[in-house]
Amino acid sequence: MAGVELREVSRSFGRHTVMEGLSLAVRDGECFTFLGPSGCGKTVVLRLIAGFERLSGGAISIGARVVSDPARKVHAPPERRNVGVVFQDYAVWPHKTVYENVVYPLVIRKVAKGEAAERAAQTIRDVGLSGLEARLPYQLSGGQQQRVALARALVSNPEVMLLDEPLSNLDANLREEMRFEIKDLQRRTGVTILYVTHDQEVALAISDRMAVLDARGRVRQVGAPDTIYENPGDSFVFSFLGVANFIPVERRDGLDFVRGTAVPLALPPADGGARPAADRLVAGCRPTDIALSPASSGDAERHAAGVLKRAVFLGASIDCRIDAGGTELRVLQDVGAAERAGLVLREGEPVAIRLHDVKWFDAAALAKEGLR
Amino acid sequence: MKRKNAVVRGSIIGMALAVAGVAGLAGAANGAEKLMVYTSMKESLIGKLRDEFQKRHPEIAFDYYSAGAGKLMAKVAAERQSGRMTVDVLWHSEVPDFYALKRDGMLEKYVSPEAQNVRSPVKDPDGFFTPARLGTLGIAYNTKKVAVPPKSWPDLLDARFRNGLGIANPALSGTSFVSVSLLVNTFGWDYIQKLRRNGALVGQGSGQVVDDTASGDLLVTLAPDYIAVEKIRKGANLGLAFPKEMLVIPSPVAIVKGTPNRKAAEKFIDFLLSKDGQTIIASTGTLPIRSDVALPKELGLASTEEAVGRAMKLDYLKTMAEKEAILEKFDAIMKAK
Amino acid sequence: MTGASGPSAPAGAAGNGPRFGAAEVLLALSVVVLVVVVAIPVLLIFWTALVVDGSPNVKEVLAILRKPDTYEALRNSVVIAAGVTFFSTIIGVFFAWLVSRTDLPFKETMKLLFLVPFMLPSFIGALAWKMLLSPRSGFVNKALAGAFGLDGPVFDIYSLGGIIAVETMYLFPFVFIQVSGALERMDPTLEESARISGAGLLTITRRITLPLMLPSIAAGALLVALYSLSHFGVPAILGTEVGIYNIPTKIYEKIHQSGGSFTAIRTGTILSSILVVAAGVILWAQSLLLKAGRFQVISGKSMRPMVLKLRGLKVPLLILSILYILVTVVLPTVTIVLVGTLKTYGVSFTLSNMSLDNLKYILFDWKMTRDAIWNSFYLSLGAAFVTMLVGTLISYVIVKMKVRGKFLLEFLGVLPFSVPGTVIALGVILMWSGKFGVNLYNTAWIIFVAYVARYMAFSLKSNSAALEQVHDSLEEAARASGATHWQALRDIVIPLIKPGMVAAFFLIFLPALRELTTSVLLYGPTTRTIGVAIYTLNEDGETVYAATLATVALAIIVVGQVVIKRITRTTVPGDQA
Ligand SMILES: Nc1ncnc2c1ncn2[C@@H]1O[C@H](COP(=O)(O)OP(=O)(O)OP(=O)(O)O)[C@@H](O)[C@H]1O
Ligand SMILES: [Mg+2]
Repeated sequence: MAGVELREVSRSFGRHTVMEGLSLAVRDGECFTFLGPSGCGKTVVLRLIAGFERLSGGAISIGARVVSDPARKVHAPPERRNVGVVFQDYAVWPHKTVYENVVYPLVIRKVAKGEAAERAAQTIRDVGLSGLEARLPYQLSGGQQQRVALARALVSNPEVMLLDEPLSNLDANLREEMRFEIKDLQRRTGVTILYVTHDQEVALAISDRMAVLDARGRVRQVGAPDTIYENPGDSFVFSFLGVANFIPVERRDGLDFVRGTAVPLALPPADGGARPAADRLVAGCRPTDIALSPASSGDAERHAAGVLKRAVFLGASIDCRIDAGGTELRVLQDVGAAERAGLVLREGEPVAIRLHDVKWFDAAALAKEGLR
Repeated sequence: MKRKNAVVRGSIIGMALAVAGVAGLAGAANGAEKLMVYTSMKESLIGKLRDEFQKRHPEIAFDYYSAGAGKLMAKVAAERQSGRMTVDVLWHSEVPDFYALKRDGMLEKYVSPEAQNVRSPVKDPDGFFTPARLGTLGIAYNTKKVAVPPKSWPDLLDARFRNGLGIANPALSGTSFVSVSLLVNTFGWDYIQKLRRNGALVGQGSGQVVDDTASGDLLVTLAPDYIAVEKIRKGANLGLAFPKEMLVIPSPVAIVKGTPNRKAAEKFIDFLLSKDGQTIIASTGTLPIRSDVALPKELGLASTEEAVGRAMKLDYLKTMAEKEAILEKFDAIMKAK
Repeated sequence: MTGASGPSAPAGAAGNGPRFGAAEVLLALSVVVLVVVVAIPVLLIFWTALVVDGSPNVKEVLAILRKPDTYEALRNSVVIAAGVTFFSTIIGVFFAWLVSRTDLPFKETMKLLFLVPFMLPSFIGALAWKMLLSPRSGFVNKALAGAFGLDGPVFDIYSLGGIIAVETMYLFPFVFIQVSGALERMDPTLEESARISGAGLLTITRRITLPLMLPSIAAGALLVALYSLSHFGVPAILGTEVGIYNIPTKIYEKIHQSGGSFTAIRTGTILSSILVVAAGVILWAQSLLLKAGRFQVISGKSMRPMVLKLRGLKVPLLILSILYILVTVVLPTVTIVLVGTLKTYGVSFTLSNMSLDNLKYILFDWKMTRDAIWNSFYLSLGAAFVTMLVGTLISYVIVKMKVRGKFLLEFLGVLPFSVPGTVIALGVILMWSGKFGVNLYNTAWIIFVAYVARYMAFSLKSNSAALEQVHDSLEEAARASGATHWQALRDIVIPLIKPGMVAAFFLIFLPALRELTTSVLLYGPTTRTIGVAIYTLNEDGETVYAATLATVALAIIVVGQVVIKRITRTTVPGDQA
């Protein structure tokens, strides 16, 4: 097994630069996720690592071996990089049976017939496709094809597996199931996994560490999922990891108000000195980190007030949209908790708002991201 | 799986066929002695000669290319330009061409031991070419549409042949060119003009105008004897008439300069001029160049001696010099409305 | 194949990689093939036409163009192409509409029947029509004259009108296919909404349907124009006899009658240059139209189109359609077959005059015809196979590969589509007659090279369509599995595009089997093809044998079609995701 290191990697297509100076080190045996918006260059990174694309600059090494380094005219072809690739569209060969698909990497590597058959069968079992060996791809469901692709990438014990949004075409249940299976496989085999997705949920669930890329292919933050979720480095990361409320805040007379209004904000008591000193601040807040109560409940002076414009029942929770002095907030109310506390609100009702957890951002930086 | 087998089998068959194809391209017969004769004689004549010749000389890979003299000469010229000569022996009826080839040093001199028996209105004293057949052209007519056959050349100006006379294109057919030249030499351009005024048409090759006459598309045409005879024998609605002034056109045979197959070429010419060869020629309904060969009685052909006597005269050297002009003048007359 | 003799490839420039990999080799190879097989011959034609003794000479070009016979050939080509295009369009659109937008009985069968004229080589059709409609002896003319006691002929097939009529009969399917396909895929809601807003059927047809179909109609019409402009067979059989020449027949006459003199070749190249330019303009117009035609009228799903009830016209129109097929396909075929059994042309069709002797003769006894059949067979087989492979290679580079210098190949790849057969033949003569060290004159190879050039377009079309279906990731998955580029090609790409390759093979093999336009300029004493043999037999007045050989050709074509149906059915895999 091996780690992957990208040093100052750049790639442009003609005049269009997809990424510039990207540096990252993926550790041996970890499941590392690239998370970023569509078109940010995730696929390009994987293709650069796999060797399907050539670098414009920088270098890539897998393990101790430099596989791409245009400056030194190094470019190992894909077949000599010992990586397994699972493509966004599976790329299962339609003219080969499940077994033929899976055994192919072994045949190409001239593994002895008996051993190849043994290993292919084992891998097919591992991904749960036993019994379907003789089927042709068109006789398989999307999820099954997905597993064939996985098995084919795994069968030759690659040092690194590259997965490009392999779950995006699956339904919610299957996606979850496959997510666990990939994680499980990685734990069992110890293979290094590079996983590309724009789906933060998958990224959070599957990664040991992850990198968040912005639309221009720059790395915004690298770290463990919980660290990134809890301590987003900037507003982009914060918003990309889930629905985010941004409330412009104004400090008057030592009190915080929603900017330009007389609506005071109730902030959690311990916002822990993280608050920057700037005047024009924005408070970032997840929908689950806001508590609502009827405005009549007495503490209206202490808490910001707004109007419940719309409430959508989602089963376990209620998705509420609140108008707080012209700023729209999204709040997720837990149905059980709300019922127990008798806090079921009706549309049009004035509500009091309390923020549990706040991340502070500089308004100017936020404007630059185009988030507000 | 079954489908896959079909694919595999299909592609194997495909490959095998393709290999056969490419092999066919590459595999030219590699006989020791080869001979390629370019001739304006039709299959019915040259085919029979080939069969006989092959019986005598199985060691020679004999082949021929049969087309109108115009095409043959174009081919020869093109071969000359490209430097890749395929032709060994040339045998057609456009006598002036042989004078031209001789002048251009394109022919090998060869005097066959059989040459002394040749009777012909044309001979090359230097031995570069030798007449191997006396072609005659008669007036072929459609027996269903023409009740009374034309007897003389002026008969063709008759109103009953209006729009019904066809002449093969002299630019394509050697016999036709010489025939036109003979008629012009004997009766003047005036005669051609009158023919045109009576609606005479230019057809394509000399065979096609005969077929057109047999089918009734034309009423009368100038027809090489053996072509008409073959069709008459097969039952075509054709008759053949010979006016007093006969169109007699020798078809010279010659060896092309620089041929690597000279020996085979000589053997072929010897055979052609031999009594056996001439007997075959006579049997197809054309005149032999030897007087010791009998003609099939039922055709009513004039004997070789008689034909030579009745033949219209022509200065071939002069005709050769004027060939372009003659063709152009003929073309202009026939295109006029 | 031909590479050894060609100019060295501009390969060194390609690719920024450290190695000279498969990509660069493939690109270089493709470029070399196209340059040698198509580009140089075409350039030689322009060069020969425009340059005399190393300097351009426009004056002489104009002088040659002003000569009455060249000028007339040009005019006739245009008149014929215009006429054929006009009538093919009308007939094609009418029948397309009939089988896709009316309740004509047996529509599906009729749709197939209207494609049959495509199978009949048009020069064989011309041969048949000559027998049926030649002024005095045509069977139909004779019958009519007999029935009505007429004096002169009713029809004269030896005329511009006759040529246009015969070509139209066999070319209208170009339009028919395009238009009926588009009519079927047209979104019916467009018409329905017009109907809801109160428009009558005629108005809908005129204001909605026709305008929407215009790109397809034009695309079909341009194909017809392109084909007719450079078509040899029909004008050669029906025109030359009465002095009507078009460009290809004029070139043929020049090459075959003027002793291969330089002026003749030059006239040929000048006429050819005009053909190339005309073809280029037509193709350019077509690509514009096809682009314009891509607006959203055509939906992928199959829909139930609005169907016009023919009511009382149902039976008459069905009879008209059947009659059309009978007259254009059955009647000529029967004529050819029957004439092919006659002892000699002009005798009546009585049993005593008919036999299979001719068939036996041309199949077994006559070396010329036997050779012709064999020549055509192996030439088309070899050309189809090689062209298919080379086309696969070139399409692969164009569709799939990322390699510097590809634009050059993309440009060259368009060439085969715009070079008419006559031009190819002439170019091939200029190129392969020893001037460049290789002399293929009079050999089968020169025809082979011409076929490869002539049918490259078919192969490129079929192969690139197949390749576009194969997603890049399939090949990359193989690379990631450890396969080299070659192994990925062998194991993944080629098996997946095999149906396209098989289609390309037959798309070339069958037309090549009956090819005339190109081979008639290239054949040598031992390299006649079936098409050439039929044509020269007819020219030599061996009408009966021409008909017999044509019968054989028709039989081969029918058998070939059946075999294709079989093979393509077994090779096209069911449902490839
Ligand atoms: N071959 C190419 N030529 C030109 N531009 C390219 C090429 N491949 C990718 N790009 C560009 O690079 C950028 C990144 O593409 P990439 O496919 O990596 O996006 P992505 O992050 O994978 O997006 P998605 O989540 O939609 O798959 C895009 O702007 C794309 O247009
Ligand atoms: Mg992507």
